[in-house]
Amino acid sequence: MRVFTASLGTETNSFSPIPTTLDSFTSNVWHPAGTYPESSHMTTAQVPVLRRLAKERGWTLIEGLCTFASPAGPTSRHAYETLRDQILAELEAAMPLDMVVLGLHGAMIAEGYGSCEGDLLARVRAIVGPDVPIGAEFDLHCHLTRALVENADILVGYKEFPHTDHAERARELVELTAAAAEGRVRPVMSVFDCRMIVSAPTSRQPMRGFVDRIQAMEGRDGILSISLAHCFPYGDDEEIGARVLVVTDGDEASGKALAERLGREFYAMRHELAPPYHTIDEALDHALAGEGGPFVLAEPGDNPGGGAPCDNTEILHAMIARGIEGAALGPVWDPQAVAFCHGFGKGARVRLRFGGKAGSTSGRPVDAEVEILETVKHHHQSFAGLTVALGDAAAIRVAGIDVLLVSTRKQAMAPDMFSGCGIDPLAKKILVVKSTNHFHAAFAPIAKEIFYVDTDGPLPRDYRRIPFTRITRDLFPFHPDPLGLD
Amino acid sequence: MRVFTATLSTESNSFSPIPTTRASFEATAWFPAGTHPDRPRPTTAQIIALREVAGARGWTVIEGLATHAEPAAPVRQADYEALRDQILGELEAAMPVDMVVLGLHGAMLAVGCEDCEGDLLARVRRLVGPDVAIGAELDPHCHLTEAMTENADVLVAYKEYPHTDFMERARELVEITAAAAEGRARPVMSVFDCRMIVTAPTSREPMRGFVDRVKELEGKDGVLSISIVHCFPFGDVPSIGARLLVVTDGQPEKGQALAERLGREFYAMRRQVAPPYLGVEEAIDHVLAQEGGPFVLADPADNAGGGAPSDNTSILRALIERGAEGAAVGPIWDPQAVRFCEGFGEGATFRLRFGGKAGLASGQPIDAEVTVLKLVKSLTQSFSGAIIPLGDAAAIRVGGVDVLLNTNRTQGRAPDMFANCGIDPTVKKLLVVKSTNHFHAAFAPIAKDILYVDADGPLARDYRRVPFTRLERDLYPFHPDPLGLD
Repeated sequence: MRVFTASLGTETNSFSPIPTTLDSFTSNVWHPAGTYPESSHMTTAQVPVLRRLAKERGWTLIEGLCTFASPAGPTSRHAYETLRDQILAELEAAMPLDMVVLGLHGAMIAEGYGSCEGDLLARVRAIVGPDVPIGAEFDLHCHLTRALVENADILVGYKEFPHTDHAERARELVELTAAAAEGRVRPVMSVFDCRMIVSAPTSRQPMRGFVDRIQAMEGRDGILSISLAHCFPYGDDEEIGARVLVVTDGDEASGKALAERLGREFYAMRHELAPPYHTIDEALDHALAGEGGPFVLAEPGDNPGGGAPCDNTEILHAMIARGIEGAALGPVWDPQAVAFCHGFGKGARVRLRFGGKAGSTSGRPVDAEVEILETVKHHHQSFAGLTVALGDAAAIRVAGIDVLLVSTRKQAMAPDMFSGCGIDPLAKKILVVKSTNHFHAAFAPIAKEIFYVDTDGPLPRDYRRIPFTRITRDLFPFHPDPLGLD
Repeated sequence: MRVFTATLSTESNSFSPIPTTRASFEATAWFPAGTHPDRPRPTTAQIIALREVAGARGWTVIEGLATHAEPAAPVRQADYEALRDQILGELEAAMPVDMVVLGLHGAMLAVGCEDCEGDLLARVRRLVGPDVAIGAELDPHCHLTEAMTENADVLVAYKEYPHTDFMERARELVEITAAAAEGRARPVMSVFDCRMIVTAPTSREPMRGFVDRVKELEGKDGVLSISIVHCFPFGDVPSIGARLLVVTDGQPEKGQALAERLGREFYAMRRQVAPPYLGVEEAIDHVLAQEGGPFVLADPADNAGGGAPSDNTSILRALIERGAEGAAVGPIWDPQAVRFCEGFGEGATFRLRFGGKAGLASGQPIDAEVTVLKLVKSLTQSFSGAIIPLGDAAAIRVGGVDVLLNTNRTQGRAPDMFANCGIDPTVKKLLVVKSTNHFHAAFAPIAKDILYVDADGPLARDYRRVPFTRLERDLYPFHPDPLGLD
């Protein structure tokens, strides 16, 4: 069997001040055809799976470009078309094929395009024809558009948020696509539109139980796979919104019924999905009143994984004003301040301006006398078996607060981002992390308690504050009950 | 005759928020032994002057490292020592030599060293012994220390400010040092301490006439060279202050008397040497009330050439808030904003945060809707035959104000910095240039009038506001008349 694979992805925040260009891809995850390394990345999880199976089963695997850009604004037309056309050319050169397995995100938007993934899949279909199965893995923070569903045979989304299951989902996707290619199954996809914009961590109830129940349904009664598309709240796409996708073995009627049943269940939980959000002062009061630590304060409003700059200073200003001691905060994206810290060197005490530099939602920069605790070249952190680059980094102390400055814009994923740069997270009373929920997997085991804080960063928790321009149907929370089920 | 030459220079601002490291040298001007190009930079002019005459005279010139860093904070200790030792190693390898001609600045400080040039010259002297002639070219914005005059045979500073005469001074230096090496002259240096901190552009009276008179005295009656040391006002060292240096052919008493006479003359002008400074609003009012243009507004307090970040936003904000039309401002050092502009592309309109990022004295960043007029990779400007890199640059328009953003921190020196980035300076009503006086040489020919503005950048025009800690003797303007001559 001849198999082609490639990855192209980013999560597009239509409102981000940061552009996404060809450089954003080449400087992030960038593996031209055949250069894919041993270690994998979330949206390239299908590659190591395919390599292993190809070896075991004697498949011929043709690897195309695999690339991913850190979430930011819409991808430039030039960048998207260049990358797409490169992958299509590689696909064409690899023909004839028996199956295609792609690593996508599902929330990529480019200038002049709504759903990039829909466009890419339609072009892949046009090249390989109707009989070659096309499978794709996607991020649950996606816009599961009609073009996506129409042009793929099988779509499998991550079930977990934090996305710790990218490798398991890749294995399922490859097995199902192979079964389709070999005529052992006939996958049919059924979608239910939940008409809601939500954030739904699976690290807490009610989502935890919902995901577990769904997983128990898979692999029996003709149900090949079930995916929950949570939606990505900052993509100004008319097809934005949560959906349930059920893939059956040729049983469209029961797939549709199940998608609707699960979709209504998901919808009924819409008011309970998001964690409670605290104001900065509430969260700090809770943490200071509690015994021991560390208390973890998450700042989803400035999560670069959602396209934010990761340099908002509101929490930091508040903590400095309150004279908080024994705290650490990070990461703050400020390549200029990192370069200054590397220049002055470990141990130096300097007046530094840091944070608050990328955009109008970054807040005012902080000016403070700081001590440079540590400088690290090519810093990184871990995430579900992956190594995630943070670029050159510096740990600085501002009064009683240690701040991790980084030069590669990335959200907080694990406490080793602190410990690898001279800050002991276990010794802190308070840890502030810029992340929506990926931090949860590795911080929960060391956290006394976790609080989610709503700041004035660019990703407001109340989605009614997002200046959408392309929404054409009633969606929660703009409408309290768009499905009319209350 | 065997000649060794090398350059190690920067102007250290003790109060700059920006570190100086080996990387700063590599990023500004970095020419390892034998790789210096044909065009000089101000502090490498002696290399070109030596090349001009070496062939005809049968000299063997051994070129060592030539490097210069854009002014900022004192150099990191280990990096200074490594650069110094590299040059000393190259000198040792070149021995025996008959003369040494160095390109220095004279205001270079390192952590742990308050007189880098004195330190370097003393070590050169130790290597070559008392009989080899050592000459060095200096910037008039230097601290002329005893260690420098004791260990060199001839020191020659630029006479002009703007420093347009670096090549002529280099040629004189080479001739005098060669005469000493060949026994045709016996240079003796005499110094008078003027006990004042001043800025003294030679583009205006009374300095213009003073410099012209001083030049008339050279080359006759045993006077080999006269240098007017203006001082560098932002170096926190005991040796700070203006001085008169007279080099005679073996006539120390005559030299001392002349140095004193000219020094007193310079001192008597101390209240007239600086140009008048206007407030930000005052300068803008003045320009807007007049016909024609372009009026040039200099922003000396944010001059990168004095170690400032070149990203202070005071004048820019005032122009934007007043809705000024037909203005251009530059250069504003903001690599992050340039990258964003590159990402969005020429013609794009978006909200950008720019300027006000490097330090406390940068002011607050500006948030505005901007249009990218032009993007240039590796922008350059000219300066008296030298080509000065500005790095990648973006011209943006904010209302009626065009702004030149760049990535390589350097002062504005010539209107071609605007013209090369798509902004026609000749059709503007007003041009704001971040520079103390180097801009004057090339801007004066196109300027309707030139105004100097005292904004709130880090290089305060009133030197009594500079937070010195190392002054040991009474100096003007801290003392109204330290020499007691009024």
